This record gives sequence, C-alpha cells and structure tokens, in this order.
Amino acid sequence: MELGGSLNRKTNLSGSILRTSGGGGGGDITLDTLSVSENGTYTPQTGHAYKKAIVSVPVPTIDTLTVSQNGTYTATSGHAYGEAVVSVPNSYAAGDEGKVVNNGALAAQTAHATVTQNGTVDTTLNNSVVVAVPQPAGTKQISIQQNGTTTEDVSSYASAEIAVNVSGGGGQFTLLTSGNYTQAADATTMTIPFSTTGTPLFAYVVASEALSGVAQAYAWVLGNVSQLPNDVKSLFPHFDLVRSKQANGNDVTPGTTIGLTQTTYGLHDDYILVAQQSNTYPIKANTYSWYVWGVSA
Amino acid sequence: MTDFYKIVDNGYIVGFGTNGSDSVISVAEDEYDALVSMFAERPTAPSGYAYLLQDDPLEWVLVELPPEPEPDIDDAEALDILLGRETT
Repeated sequence: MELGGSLNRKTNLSGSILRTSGGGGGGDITLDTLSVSENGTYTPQTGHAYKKAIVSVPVPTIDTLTVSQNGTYTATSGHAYGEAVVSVPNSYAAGDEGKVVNNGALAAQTAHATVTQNGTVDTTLNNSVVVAVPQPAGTKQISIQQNGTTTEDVSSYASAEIAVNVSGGGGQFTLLTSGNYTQAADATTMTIPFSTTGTPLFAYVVASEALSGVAQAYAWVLGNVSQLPNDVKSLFPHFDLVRSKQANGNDVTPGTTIGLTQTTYGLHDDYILVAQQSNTYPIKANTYSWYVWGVSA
Repeated sequence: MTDFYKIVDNGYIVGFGTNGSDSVISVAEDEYDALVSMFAERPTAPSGYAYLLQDDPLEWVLVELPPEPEPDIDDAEALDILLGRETT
C-alpha cells in the first residue's frame, strides 16, 4: 500500500539502504552478512550493515572429567565438562603421617607384645612396642673345682663370683687318705706307712696314750701349714708348722708330750716319720691316726 | 675301702694298721682284728725287759733289753732345739 506524503521510513532496496530523510546528509549503506564464529563484540565497519548474522560459535563438547590427583586442570579447547569424577586417593591428617597405609587405607595398628629379649621384631602393624629386656642384676656364685671352662650361664647377672677351690695342681685340695697305725713294740724310730694318690701336701698325726693310762690325743702337723691357702688353714686352726697343739688348743711341745727328746717330722713318699727316739726314752708302743691332705689326682 | 697291714721285722710285729703303703704286708681283716685284740692285752714287762709281738705264732714274747746308752743331750736342750731356741 502506498501512502501519500513523505514517510520517515526505511526502505529496503536491493543492495542498499537509503539514509532516511530529515536526518541531513545521506548515502548508501552496504548490507552484509555478519558471520560470527566466536563470542565477542562486533562493530560493523563504516558503511556496512548486516541483514543477517550467521553465528557459528563452536559448541563445546560436554565430557566427563576424571581427576585422579590433586592439581589444576585446564579444559581442552572446545571441551566442557558435564561432570567431574574425583578419585583422588585419601589424604591423611597430620597426625596420621608415618602410619601404615594398606591399599589406600590406614592399616589398623595395635600395641605389640612386650619384647623381652634382643632381636629383630617386625612392628609394621604396631603403633607401639614395649621393650622390657631384663637388666642383669645380682652376683652368681660359680664354684670351679679345677682349671677348665665353665658353662655357667651368667647372662642375667651383673657379675659372677668365681671360687676356685684349688689353685694349681689341677685337683681339689682334700683329704687324700687316712688310716691307723699301732706301734706294737717300743722302738727307737717309728715311721707310719701310708699310701695315697694325688699330690700329698701335708699330713698330721694324732697319737693317743691310752695304753699309758692318760687318755689324751696329740697332733703333729707334718708339713708347712703356713704356706697353705687361708681357707685351707682354717681347717686346722690348732696347728702350724713347728708348734703343735692338743685338740683342746693348749700348746704342746712335740716330743716331750710323749717322752721324746728328739723329734723329726717329715712327709716322705711312703712314710710319715713321726719321731726319732732319744737314747734315753724310746718311743713307747702307741696308737696313731694319720691324715694326709693334698691335691687330688 | 680299708686295707689292713702289718710290719714284721725279724719275726716280730713292729706295727700294724690300716691303709698302709705298698711296702707293708697286707693282711685280712680277721688277722688285723686279732692283732688289735692281742695288742690290747699287752703284758707289762719288768724293768730291763720288753714284750715283743711274735708274728707266727701270734703271741707276746718277753725279751731282755740291752742297756740304755747315755743320752747325747738332756731334755732341756732337746726342748730348745725343738723350739728353735739357742742351745747352751
């Protein structure tokens, strides 16, 4: 419909748009097609207008983002994510640092049984270990009869006290043998035969005078008692080398007590020479007990 | 174990005992007991005589003793020697 008069309108002409009247000036405006391929602001060039705009901004592909470790993830160009699957392994509290993780989870740990001896203990699944190694204490008494190697276990003792009964000789100081001897007749010299094994160190003789009606016993030590160890000497508290004593502790002068004026003592291989007579007083018949001490074989 | 023995000199028993050396004469326990019994019954000899115990047969034999010689030293001097003292 054509209207008369002047219209202030746009007239779509082929290929151009006429500038509207009343606006002063004028000129043709080229109509273009605007193709937009990305987001943004587009300013038409001078003298251009767009009769249509073709928008071809790429539509991002909707993917699923799988995140398996901590970090910053940048989407690939042209991709968007409809969902994100996060499968980052467990993280642990500071207090759990150092603890055992088994298959992604903290392993249950319990206190280990008390450790009481040296060794290597696997404490992987234990959160604590009680160590109670026994402390050596006390002194163990070890008695050694002779030289050699002892197999005593002293591991649980702080110290060991070793008592060697005999030093040297390889045996134990002991009573090797004893016996009796009866002098059947008065004699000028009397020897007491004895036999023994081992190493005799000294001997002593006890003489009785029962036949003379005096019920006494006398002792003579034959050998050097003073050279014996103290613990051995204690066995013979009444005797020493030269001076002998009766069993009651009184001093006895060897010889005079049995009527001898010369006395010789000695420890020989086979005999204990008890006395040697004086010319005045022969040794009276008597009964003797003898004892030989020494180191056993 | 106890061994028994006797010592014989010129047919007379000098002594007897237990656990003697190899140089003595071993005897049975019965013989040893006999020696002990015999010795316990030793008779007293008169002055100048002594009883010796004969081995075979087992019996006491009275014998005359030779005269005693004079002593070399007296009792006091002998005692000094025993005690390690100076002798006069």
